[in-house]
Amino acid sequence: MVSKMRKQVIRVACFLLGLAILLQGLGWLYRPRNNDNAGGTLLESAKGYLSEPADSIDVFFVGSSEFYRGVCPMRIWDEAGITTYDMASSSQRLYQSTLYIQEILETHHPKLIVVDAYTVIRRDEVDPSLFYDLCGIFPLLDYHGNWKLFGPQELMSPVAYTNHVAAKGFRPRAKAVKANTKRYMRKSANSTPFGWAKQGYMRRIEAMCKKAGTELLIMAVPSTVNWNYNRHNAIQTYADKRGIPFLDLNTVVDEVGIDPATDYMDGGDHLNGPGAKKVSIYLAHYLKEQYGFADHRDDPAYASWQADYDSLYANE
Amino acid sequence: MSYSQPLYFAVFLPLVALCYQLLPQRHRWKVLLAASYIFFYATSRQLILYLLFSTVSVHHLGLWLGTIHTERSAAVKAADRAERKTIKAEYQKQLRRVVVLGILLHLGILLVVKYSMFFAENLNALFHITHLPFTLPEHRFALPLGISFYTMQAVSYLVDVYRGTVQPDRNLPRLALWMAFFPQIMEGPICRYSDTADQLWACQSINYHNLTFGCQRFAWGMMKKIVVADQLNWPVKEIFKNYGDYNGAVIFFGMIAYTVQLYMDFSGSLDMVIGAGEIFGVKLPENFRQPFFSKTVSEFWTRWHITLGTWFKDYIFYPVSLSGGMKTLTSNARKKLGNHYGPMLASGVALLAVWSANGLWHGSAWNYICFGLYHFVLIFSGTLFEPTFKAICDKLHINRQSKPWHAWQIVRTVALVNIGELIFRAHGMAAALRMLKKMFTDFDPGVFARGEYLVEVSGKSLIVCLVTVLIVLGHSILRERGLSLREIVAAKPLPVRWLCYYLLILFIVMFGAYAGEYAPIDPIYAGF
Repeated sequence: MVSKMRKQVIRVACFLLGLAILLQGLGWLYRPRNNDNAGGTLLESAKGYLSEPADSIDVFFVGSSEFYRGVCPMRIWDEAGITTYDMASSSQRLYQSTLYIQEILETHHPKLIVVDAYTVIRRDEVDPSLFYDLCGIFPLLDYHGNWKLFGPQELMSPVAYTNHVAAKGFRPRAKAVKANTKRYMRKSANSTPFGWAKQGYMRRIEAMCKKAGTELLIMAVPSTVNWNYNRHNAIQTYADKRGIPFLDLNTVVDEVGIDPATDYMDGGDHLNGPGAKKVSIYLAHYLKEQYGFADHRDDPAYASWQADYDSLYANE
Repeated sequence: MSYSQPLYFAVFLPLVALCYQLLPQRHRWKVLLAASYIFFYATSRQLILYLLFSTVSVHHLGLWLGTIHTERSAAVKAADRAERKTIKAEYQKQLRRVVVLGILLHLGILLVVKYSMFFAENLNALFHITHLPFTLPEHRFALPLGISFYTMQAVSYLVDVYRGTVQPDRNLPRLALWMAFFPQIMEGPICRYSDTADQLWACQSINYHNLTFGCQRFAWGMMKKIVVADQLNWPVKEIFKNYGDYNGAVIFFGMIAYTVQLYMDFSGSLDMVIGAGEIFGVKLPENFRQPFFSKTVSEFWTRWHITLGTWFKDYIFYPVSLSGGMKTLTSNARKKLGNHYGPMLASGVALLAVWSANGLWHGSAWNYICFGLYHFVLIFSGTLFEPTFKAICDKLHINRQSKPWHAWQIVRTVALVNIGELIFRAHGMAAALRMLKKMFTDFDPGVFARGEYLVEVSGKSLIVCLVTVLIVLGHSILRERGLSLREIVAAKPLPVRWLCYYLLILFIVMFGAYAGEYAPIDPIYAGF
């Protein structure tokens, strides 16, 4: 009886092992071939960093649309010569950020990773987070849809990241819609709940950064819709407890120079181009002062950054 | 937490199975009951109070009915033969009062929670039209998980105890487990107490056969749900929402796609439900029996959502058609209309009650009611005009037992069912009629050849759907011939078996509509 059961357990284990091998094999076969949509990469703009030379980016901003609308890497370059990239996507959740940071650290060794405070504090569902954890083990789950793109020829081709993104993940909007600041950043001693699952993901990010020798910063971009003191307090308490710096630009909007009448694209949810410019200039000085980043503007190895800046802003 | 999401099938279900297996048999019911309430709470939070109230009230009402039955037996035994009839009638009245109280209580909760908004809106509209100075409050209640399913189970239990076909259960946890068993609470099947309560309570050990067969059934259901139903979600949603922008041919495609989506979603979810039950050694009743091989609409409904159909038959159709008033009506009508048309009157009334209830059960909107009435008209007219159809066929020398005739019947039934599903899915009755009109007045199949239909839907995705539908069709043909694919595969050598299982799993992983551009889609019937 016991030996029969043992045999059955071994059989189930062998079946699962075989399945894991097949999933890994297919995952390798259908891995993205290029960092654009046609090459099997969904976040074309955010994954543009894959075509940048290894270890060439000083800072990654990992987060939601708050980042790709509010932080302009090219302005930071122009102001301080620091190379930065927005690895940001719509409604990005912390479990996704965790996976994306893991991917970043496989190809780059940035000195600093900036995590979006809005991504950290917003509510997550357990189910998708579990799915993204599984994606970390079996990447095929994430890009299984590549079967629609790849024929036999693509399957045989090597990986080559050639999609160069001049804006470095930044996706600006020029439109200005006045923000409502009636309830924005009213003083409060309360704190938004900060669940154990989120703390778990933050610990994983901390551990990954520590292992890679990368510093970690939590940052909130000005947003009258998404930000308040309850959220600020929650992050501040957590950051103090874990010894992580927290930069909340919502507490220094006057210093940054944000004008609620002209600097938001949608009434206070996201910054527009002019708002992002102000934030980026402020950030350039902050990064230089706090982290002492070297200025690469005169370094010939970074000539493409100046070329990208010129292609985007030379006519300003 | 839906059945096709990793939290359920990769974490919750395996954890429950593990805890269940590790505990001694006498404690396993606790694992199932706790898991069922955790599952319910995870979805409905404090609305679990509805389920708890229903469970406790059903238990008490059942015991009350049982007490009356016992007292009646004792009183009848002690009484003279002459008095027995009077005593029986007296106790019957008491039983009826209690069962009516139970039914009103449970259906009342369902009516208030699910339908009060619909009735208030319609009555307010009526008051407005007739200039009456009344306004009813329009309040939308949050719906607890599976309320339509567990309420029907509760009513069936009370009626069965009333009829004496089921003994009242003194064991509250057993009844609670039967009401809330987590694999079935969201989408059924609607189980009778006599079907599953004892099986659940037996808590037999998970064995290799049950585990593997349960997992296979679960994976088969996942394939239907994720590869087909979820894939078709976007085109169906788009066509039904913006039907005005599309040609009749595209609307026709949308109608077929919705019927396929609904079948794959519901039957796939039920495969997952039955598979999960199988792991714990619980044989839940089947809800589908190859419905698209039906020759009539009436037969279709004995093969689609079977447990709902049998529920309506046992607890509405027969009680109505066999009631005293209906018997008198039948006997009078028989004299005047003859043996065919006479009994049709009473069965027509019962059928109308069944189909009105069926339509309403699916949701609180007019198109659901029209969906029910549409089926009533089809089924009733089919029976009513059967002698006429037979005479026409005889006159035209059509052999009604021939294969081509059967094939025609199947095609006709599928077409009628598709129209019914269009009414069911459309955004209101007016939209349904406009969609139908477009199919007849603005039908240009050339749009497909010109590629002018759904530019955002990948042709490759549709091919995958078609291949999967053909696989399911092949499986259905085997089932119609009395063969079981699982048994055929199970009889093969291990490498062949494993190859089949790997192919099924990898097919789901590769071609499933999840992650990336696909948002998770809740099972359709969970909303009913």
